[in-house]
Amino acid sequence: MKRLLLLALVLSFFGVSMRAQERRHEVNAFLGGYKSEFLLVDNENGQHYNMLFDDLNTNLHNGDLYDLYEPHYSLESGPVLTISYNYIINKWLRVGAQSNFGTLAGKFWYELGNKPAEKFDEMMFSALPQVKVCIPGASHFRLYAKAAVGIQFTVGDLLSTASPVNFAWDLVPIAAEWGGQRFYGNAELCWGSIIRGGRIGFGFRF
Amino acid sequence: MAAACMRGDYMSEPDIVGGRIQTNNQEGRKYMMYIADNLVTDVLDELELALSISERGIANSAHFSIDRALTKVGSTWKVKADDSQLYGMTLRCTAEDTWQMEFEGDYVFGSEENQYPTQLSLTAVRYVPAEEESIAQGWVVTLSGERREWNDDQKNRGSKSDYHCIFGTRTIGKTIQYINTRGNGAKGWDQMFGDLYMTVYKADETMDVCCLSFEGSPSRATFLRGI
Repeated sequence: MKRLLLLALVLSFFGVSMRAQERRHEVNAFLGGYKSEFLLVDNENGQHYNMLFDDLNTNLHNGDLYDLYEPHYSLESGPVLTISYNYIINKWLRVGAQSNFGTLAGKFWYELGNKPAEKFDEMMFSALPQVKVCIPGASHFRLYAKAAVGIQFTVGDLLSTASPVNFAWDLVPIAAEWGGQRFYGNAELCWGSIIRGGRIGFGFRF
Repeated sequence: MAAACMRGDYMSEPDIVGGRIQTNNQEGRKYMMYIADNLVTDVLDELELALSISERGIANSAHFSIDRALTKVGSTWKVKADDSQLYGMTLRCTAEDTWQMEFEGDYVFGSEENQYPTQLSLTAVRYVPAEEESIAQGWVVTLSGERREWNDDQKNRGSKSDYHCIFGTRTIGKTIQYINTRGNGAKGWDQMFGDLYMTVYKADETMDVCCLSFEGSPSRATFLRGI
């Protein structure tokens, strides 16, 4: 992650010195992710549940029948790689597509009940058309937001209840890019079907 | 005593697992101990307190609504102390040295967030075990009850939990004996004998049938599943 950040900064400074010219295409590479603990949130009663698996009623121990017979889980997620392309329509609007690749592993088990524990180790891939809206500002720094929806494929050892094909989304409420007209760096807050958290990367316009 | 847990004695309950399984699962064992020890002990503590007040001839109590002496057949007392977990429980003398307790209300298992509606009917017969002579007091308990893991105001699990269980000594004549050699008022029991059964439901589906079998020391109770 540090190397990627360093590379993004170097490319950004390199890009500052390049001659500005009309460019219509931009390509980005990002690396991001989350720790599985970030997926745990509190419900209205102050109890933890998981944003990905809340439909399975997962929960932590507190010694009642619910916890004895409903599944418990552990999760481990890897980094998520994102590749993005945009066509530059004008100063504030770009359209294109992005692709995400990530991994998720873990297991479910039961304190009591008659179901066996279940492990999963899966790779996820998604392809999403996207729209990027920029806030016009300084030439070397700008803020933007993105929205993308598409389809997600999951392969590997899946949970018996999981589907290999799902609806995919990726929302970036706020992000920043800095650098030159040709090379630049990015940092995005994001919330999507594969990645929830943040990502950093670098881009190239041509 | 464990033989009493075998199938055949309790044909009215479903057999969903297909055999008797002894398990070391501590969470399941702990849950049943909340019934066998905490809940029943709280009921017996209330009974012993009421008998203590009655035997001293006290006419008014902040803890109980008092009728005649609780040793008189037909006398009915009621727990009126609102700091008692068993607020509203009635205690009624049904025969010599025999009392029946009825409770319906929220009861806590372990921590406050596990407070759920619990209904209990418990008959306790007082006796002095012959081998322990006068230093011991025991209770022969027959009970049946139900606990639902949701509240009218849905405050604990919201709509997510629809678990409930029924529990008890199942058939007439089956009991759990609680023996205390430390005198009235002591928490915990030196010895317990008998079997407590529990059937777990999720909505209307039977999830499990469990048995906690006592053969002496309460800490060495055997937890069985799939009866």
